[in-house]
Amino acid sequence: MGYELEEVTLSQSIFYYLIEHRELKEEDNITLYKAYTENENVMDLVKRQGTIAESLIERYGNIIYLIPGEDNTYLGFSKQNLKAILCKSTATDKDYYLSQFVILTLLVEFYDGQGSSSKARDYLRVGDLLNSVSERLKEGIESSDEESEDIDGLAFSNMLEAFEALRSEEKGSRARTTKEGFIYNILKFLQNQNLIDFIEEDEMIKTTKKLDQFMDYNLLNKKNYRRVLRVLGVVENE
Amino acid sequence: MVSFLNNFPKRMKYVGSYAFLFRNSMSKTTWKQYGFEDFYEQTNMIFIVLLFIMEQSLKDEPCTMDDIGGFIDMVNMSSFKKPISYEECKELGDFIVNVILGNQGKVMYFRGYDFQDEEYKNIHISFINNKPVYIDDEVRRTSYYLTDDGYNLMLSTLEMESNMLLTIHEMIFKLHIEKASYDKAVDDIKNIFNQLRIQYQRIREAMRKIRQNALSYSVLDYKILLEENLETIGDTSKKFSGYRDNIRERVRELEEKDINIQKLDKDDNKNLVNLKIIENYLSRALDEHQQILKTHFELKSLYTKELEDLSQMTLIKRFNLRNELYDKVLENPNNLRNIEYLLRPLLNQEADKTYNINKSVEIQKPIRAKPKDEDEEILEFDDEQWKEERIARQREKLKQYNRSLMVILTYAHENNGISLKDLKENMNEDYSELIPNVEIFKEIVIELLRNADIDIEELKKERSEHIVETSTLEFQLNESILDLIDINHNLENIKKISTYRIGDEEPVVFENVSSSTGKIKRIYCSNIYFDLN
Repeated sequence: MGYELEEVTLSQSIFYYLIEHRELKEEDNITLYKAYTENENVMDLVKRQGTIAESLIERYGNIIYLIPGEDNTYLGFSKQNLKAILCKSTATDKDYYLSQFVILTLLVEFYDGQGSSSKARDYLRVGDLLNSVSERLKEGIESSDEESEDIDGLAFSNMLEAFEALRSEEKGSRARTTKEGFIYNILKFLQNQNLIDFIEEDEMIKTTKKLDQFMDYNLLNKKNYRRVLRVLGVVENE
Repeated sequence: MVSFLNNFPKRMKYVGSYAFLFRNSMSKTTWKQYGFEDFYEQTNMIFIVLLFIMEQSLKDEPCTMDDIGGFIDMVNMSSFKKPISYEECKELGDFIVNVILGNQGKVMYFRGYDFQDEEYKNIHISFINNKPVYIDDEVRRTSYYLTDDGYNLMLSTLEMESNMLLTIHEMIFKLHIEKASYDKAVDDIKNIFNQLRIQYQRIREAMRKIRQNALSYSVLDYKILLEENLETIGDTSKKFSGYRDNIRERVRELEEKDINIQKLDKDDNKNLVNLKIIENYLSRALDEHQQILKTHFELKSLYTKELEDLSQMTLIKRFNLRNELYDKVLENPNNLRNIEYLLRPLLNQEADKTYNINKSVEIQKPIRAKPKDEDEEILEFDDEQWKEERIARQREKLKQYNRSLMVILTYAHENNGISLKDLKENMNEDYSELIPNVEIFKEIVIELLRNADIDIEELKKERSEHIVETSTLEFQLNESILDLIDINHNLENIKKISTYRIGDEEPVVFENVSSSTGKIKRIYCSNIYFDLN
């Protein structure tokens, strides 16, 4: 298959734009956007470059996204990166797993729908999220069997301890040693990633269109079910 | 099938809204904390809050929790007189809005039986929604507004079908105009204007819904909205222009009468005022009409586009996050170990930067603190904001003038008159207060020298005789002196300020003072004496 030099150049520009901004909105750069959507060759070239960079290039609505693949720890976050940004510097593994559990709980609260979209609620208050996390942790302690618990200390009881060890304070405290501060830090991070709108003053969490689309098209897509299997440690037979 | 059951789901939608309101409110003990014991009291309160949110939505003004709390407090003080504080009113507002009206954020579905398809169908119900707004351009808050269902619910409390409202109001308006009862016509036209407003907001809300998820927006809703739009747009424009011309004519008649024949009596005067209000509202109604027309087309193209996009999405098969993953994690926490595989596509990490060695041999430009005037880079040009910022800057500058003048006055007062040279000695090389920048200092000294003798008593007298515009932000020596004396009691007994050059040969030198552009300068001044007596 032959490509015009111009198409190659355009695709390279698009890819660099994506590396820089991670998304290409129609209104931000209409030339590049049009080149991608209207010229199949360009789209093809960009997608190829994406594959080489262990990423996926997808258009949801009128935004083209660069989505890091699940093994890509250069464009995406590695465990260490995430831990550094989500937890305080002296954090242990249980703090990190707790933070992951909080994010997962947040996603479940929002995307539990069965309809045409998986979205199940419009907003969530921070207090409700806090309650939900500690309830689920308790639930987890009860339902997880004892044997699986102490392989190397990753257990709900430990996480709950870590969670309850955080002080609970009245409004205002943002120190990472309080429950509110811990959650606040996670929410801020998700907001910086443009996944949620977090309005501190009203303790209000709303999801962005980006997160809605990512969940509907990508994360919960049956095509990507292998990720879940991998998380669950089920070996894939191909 | 029996024909009277045809519209059953539509009826169930209305009934469902009430049902949800009461379900969410009944048997909640929270009410009792605030002294609302009885069922009817609670219901009244809910609708009062709903009405307040509707009023704010109609005005397009933000409606935050504080506004709602404040409103409840006001109503409670004047009418219900429950012993609850402002803070408790806010909590009560939060409870009503989030628990009762918002169902704690969870989507509400009422199941209504559809006799055509012979099954129960989900009917979506929501009263309010919220969006982030910026209050005073800085604080981010959640603002609540009424949804379409919410409007319908509120309008149905006035027992009228929404699409009939406009026509009815218009008829009444016409009647009142014909009978020349203009005061009533003012209310009518306000109602008409509100109707148009609501229609406009309906379209906007529909567009928002479509953007969020086009599938949750039903084709039936779309059809009804379009029909309503067309009806509203229909011949309103022509009719309203007609009314406006008519009103203008009447205004002109009255005004001519006022000039030519005789002074208008009290009634006519009132009519004139009312007619002008009507004219104003008619113009606004016409504008609103334009807006509706415009958004109507935007809505159509948006819906088409989103549906096209969606046709791809319906092909996607999804798994359920809770069943397939979350529950399994709850069973075995070890599954969290690799959870980042799932989350990684969501999160983007900044790429590492590479150091370019050439940077080290670049010519270095000295970096200095930029003066306040220049450091703001406004990308979005908001006229209001820009004005406010400019005023803030001017105020800041005026403060610098006053501070500098204050230093001179204080030292002169303490020492019963002081020369610039001695003043400098007293500063211990810290001139930041005295000389915020060269230009300011120069202006103050020149003003003082030019005035030579300033008699405070006389200035005070002058000021009391003239009403001076108080909000001037330019530096006025006399004003500043009087202000400083007013504020600082220890300067009270200054009667007179005389400033003159002393014939010293040696100039007074200030080192390291900055100019308004940020340059560091050394300045030479001839010695001056500040005399107070």
